Amino acid sequence: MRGRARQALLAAVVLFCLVTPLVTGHDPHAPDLGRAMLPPGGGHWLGTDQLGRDLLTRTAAAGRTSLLVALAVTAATTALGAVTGAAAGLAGGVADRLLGFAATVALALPGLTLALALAGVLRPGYGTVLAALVPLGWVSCGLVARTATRQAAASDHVLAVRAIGASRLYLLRRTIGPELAGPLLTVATADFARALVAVTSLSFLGAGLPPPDTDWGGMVSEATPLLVAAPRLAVVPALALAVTGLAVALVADARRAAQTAQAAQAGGSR
Amino acid sequence: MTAVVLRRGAELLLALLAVSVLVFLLTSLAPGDPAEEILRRGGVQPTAAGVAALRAELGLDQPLFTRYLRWLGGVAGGDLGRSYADRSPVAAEVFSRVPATLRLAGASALVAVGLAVLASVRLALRPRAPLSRAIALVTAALTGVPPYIVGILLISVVAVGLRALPTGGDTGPGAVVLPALTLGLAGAATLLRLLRADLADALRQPFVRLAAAKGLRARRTVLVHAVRVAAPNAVTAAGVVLAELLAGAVVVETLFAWPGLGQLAVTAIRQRDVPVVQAYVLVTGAAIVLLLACVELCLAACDPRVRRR
Repeated sequence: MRGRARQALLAAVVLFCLVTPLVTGHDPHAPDLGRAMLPPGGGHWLGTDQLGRDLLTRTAAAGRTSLLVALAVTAATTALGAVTGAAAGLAGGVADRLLGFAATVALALPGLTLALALAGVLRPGYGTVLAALVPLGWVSCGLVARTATRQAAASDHVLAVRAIGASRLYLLRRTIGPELAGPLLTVATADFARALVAVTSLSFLGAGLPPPDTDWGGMVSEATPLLVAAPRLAVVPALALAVTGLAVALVADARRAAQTAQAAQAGGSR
Repeated sequence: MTAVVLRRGAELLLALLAVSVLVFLLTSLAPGDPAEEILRRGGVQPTAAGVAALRAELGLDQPLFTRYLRWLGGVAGGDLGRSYADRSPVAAEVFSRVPATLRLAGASALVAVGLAVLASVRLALRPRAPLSRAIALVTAALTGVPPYIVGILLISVVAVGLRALPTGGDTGPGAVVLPALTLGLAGAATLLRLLRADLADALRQPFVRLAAAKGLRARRTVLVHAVRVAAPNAVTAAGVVLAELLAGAVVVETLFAWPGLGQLAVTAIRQRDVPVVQAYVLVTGAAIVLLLACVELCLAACDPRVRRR
């Protein structure tokens, strides 16, 4: 699939999540037991769930939550990783050792297991999901930022600015920073795909968001006992998550391929 | 060799200690007082005196570090504490669940390694063939689609639609197929990414290129020369993926009602049963750390390049 098609697929998913609740006019969270388990048709295009909530609207609302929480996790890990990585790459010292230690620990520890344990022990909530996923999640971004900073710092134009007597902060802001944007965006896209998987997995395991808020993982989890009676309740959010995950992963893949090609070209021209 | 073993041993011990500290701290992170929690679950209205007595009995009035040492001593002797829910020893429950999880992880590892090795050789032999492109696309997609989604789709088609296999539970020889396939596919995607890079590196080695330049058939070049160069890295990659399978088993076990460790942990999380959650993290974490260390030692034993590092 071409890069444009991949991005269009992702944009379509986001649009679906934002617009659907406005179009259907149903409340995604309000139960209506009189209209429980309706088959598709009539006022409910995809039918209703065991509490009488419109499946289509709920899927879209859950999608919005899934994407937003994954975005928040990615923003936090990217910010933390970028700052630590840039500091480690430029200054070395404590930041460098901290990053090295974090990388060793993060590689040796089971990420999902720890996140699950944290989320399971703390009170369920948005803050808990962040607290469970950010502490180990920023390491990959930190390593990329460190490598990119070191590479940028070694290049001739940075050396020239340094020779004039620019401070480290100035270097970071004006010459090295802009060069970090590309690699950081690449790792952030991949991290977003991973965050989406992690966030919805936590909800699927019952350690995610508190009700009535839900994401796709939570919806699938609620519908699993009814899988034989009403498979659509699980399959619709599962397909929505599958398509979204697919789109994000493909965009991340294309982004990485472009980055690698660019790096190879830059290396060749030197 | 001895130096490698000693250094890895020290690192291993440190990683195990880090896991134990994190696991121990989970109790202090949990909101509320464990003693109060236990009394309330036992159907007793907690009074100040009752809570204080139970705190003293559990050793909760001791300083944090003393409690950690006592807890660690207990763990070393096989005592993982008692469940909040029914006050039964956690260790017996946890170890009765281990065989089911190992069976699932083993079957998934077969699926993952089998698929990934076949696919990586195919990708190396014919990188531009339609099948290779399809494999690359599916691999990229599987990093974004969580295993339980693949599982739900498999269940609804194979178990609900075709009625070919059970939807869940450990109910016979066929029951492991769908969970193992679900978990194995996720592992295969990760492993294939790693193997592919290794094999591509191996194909760039001068002596492999010489073999190809001499006119050796592509199949022989890849299977005999390149695979041998890539093999040590592949073993490391397989170790990493196996660790991932052990951690990921929790999701698949929940979906398929597989009576393993992960299912126990999820039930404990729903009941906020902290000691059981702790035991799960400790056992899984320790297993993963040990597994990765074993892989590295095996490599050091058979690959001279690792020993010299």
